[in-house]
Amino acid sequence: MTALLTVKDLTTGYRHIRVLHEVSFTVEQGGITAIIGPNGHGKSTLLRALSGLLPAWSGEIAFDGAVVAQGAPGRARAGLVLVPQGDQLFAGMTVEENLMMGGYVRQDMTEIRATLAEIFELFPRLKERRAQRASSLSGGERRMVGIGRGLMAKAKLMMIDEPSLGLAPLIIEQIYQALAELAARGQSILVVEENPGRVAKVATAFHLMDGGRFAWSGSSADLKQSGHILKTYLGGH
Amino acid sequence: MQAVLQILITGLTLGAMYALASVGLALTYGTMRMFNMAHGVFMTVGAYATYMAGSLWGLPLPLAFLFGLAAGGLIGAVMHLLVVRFMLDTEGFEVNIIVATAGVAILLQDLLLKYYGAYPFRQPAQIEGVFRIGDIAVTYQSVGILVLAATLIGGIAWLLTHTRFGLAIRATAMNREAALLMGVEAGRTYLQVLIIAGVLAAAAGILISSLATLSPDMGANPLLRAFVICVVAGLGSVTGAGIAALALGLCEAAIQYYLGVRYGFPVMLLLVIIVLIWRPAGLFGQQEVVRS
Repeated sequence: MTALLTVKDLTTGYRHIRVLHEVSFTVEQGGITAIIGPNGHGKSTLLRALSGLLPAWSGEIAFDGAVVAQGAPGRARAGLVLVPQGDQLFAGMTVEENLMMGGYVRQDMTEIRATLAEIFELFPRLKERRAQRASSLSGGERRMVGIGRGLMAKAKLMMIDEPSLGLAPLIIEQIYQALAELAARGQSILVVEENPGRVAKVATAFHLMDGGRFAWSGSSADLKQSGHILKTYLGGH
Repeated sequence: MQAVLQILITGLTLGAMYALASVGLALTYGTMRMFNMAHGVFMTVGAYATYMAGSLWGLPLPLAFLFGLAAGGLIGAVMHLLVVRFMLDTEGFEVNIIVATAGVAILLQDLLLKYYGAYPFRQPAQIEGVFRIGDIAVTYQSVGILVLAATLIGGIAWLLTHTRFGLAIRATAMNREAALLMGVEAGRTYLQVLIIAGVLAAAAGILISSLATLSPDMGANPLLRAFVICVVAGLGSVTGAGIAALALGLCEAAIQYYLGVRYGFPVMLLLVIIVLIWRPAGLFGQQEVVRS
């Protein structure tokens, strides 16, 4: 396995408040990597910095063997795609238009149509609702559109911010089954979750974020071994 | 029957011009959160460019019309590249841009005044002739205005809904950050929006001046009406602005017919106030929801 994403000493924040402190880590090609930890400790900030929405104060980000471009559009074109927290769908567009916007970075219409068909296969609900406005969807359906929009970009690494946020347990299960299926097909995924409960079953590498730093990193086997560490940070599970 | 037909023809002609004047303004506000005070002067620039091409250079009418549209698009692009670009994403943008574009408007208007003087030139874009439906006299001019406005607005609507770049413009309007994440370069989208707005405004200016005369401050009144229409429709709603423009045009024509021309605009404003008391966010606007 080769490193797809290499982050070195990344520091950033909002205005004068530093949120991330020299964060370094790598994401390997293939599989699901999870960043877990309590809320308000910089997980979403890290994804925003990686996506280019939030400029880095210092540090280096290398993706797919090259230094990343400045700004979100360039990184999306490079295949580093963020599915933002709370979906951020285009509310006035239909499901299909939302998905087509996801494919904005690609040119070949036949290939884009093929990806669209794959997404409808993965989430049959979206096919039924393809002509419906995004604003009229349920929370679970919105999440599916959000993830589908990320897939349309043919991301080399898809970053998903809290895929379980605000959803019922049954829907969370469906979303994670879809993510596991995508990973099995070779899609590299980076997931941020507050609660490691569900993501622990599918992810292969874990990073625990605390106070803008990684407090612990390891594989799924390590995670089982060091349950007590997690208990300190997350209280339970 | 005769009254209805008369009101319909006058109202639709008025409404078509209002729609041309306000759709660009709504699109600019909807995508960039920018109220463009120079939108009225874009109309004036388009009208003078057509006058220059048609009357001074003697170009054929369709070419002069296209030249006017191009001038409107160009002025929109230049304003974006020289002014707006540097103010985007700065603090207080929504207020500062009103002042900045008002400055651009005053500058352009004074340049036109210096170059052409205040003499009320006649717009060469005229189609002579009248035909009759029953007892009603219909000028070919108003038919021309209706056809041109419908073609232009229909064309823009098609661009916005059926092309990649139109989809990107709508996406930026609905959720700028998500559009950036999809790979849309917001700067380029904003440039395209101001070009489209400039072209539509120029078309409105040419048509309006064809019914009246040219003057450097001819854009002020249509800008006010376009602003009123956008507020009634709900700021930023493009389809809403088109519908509200037609509705207000018809209302104004009816009021003018029954009460007299001078009551047209005041009564229309009264209607607007009533609408806004009933629906503060406008007819097609959504109450903004602030999320944490």
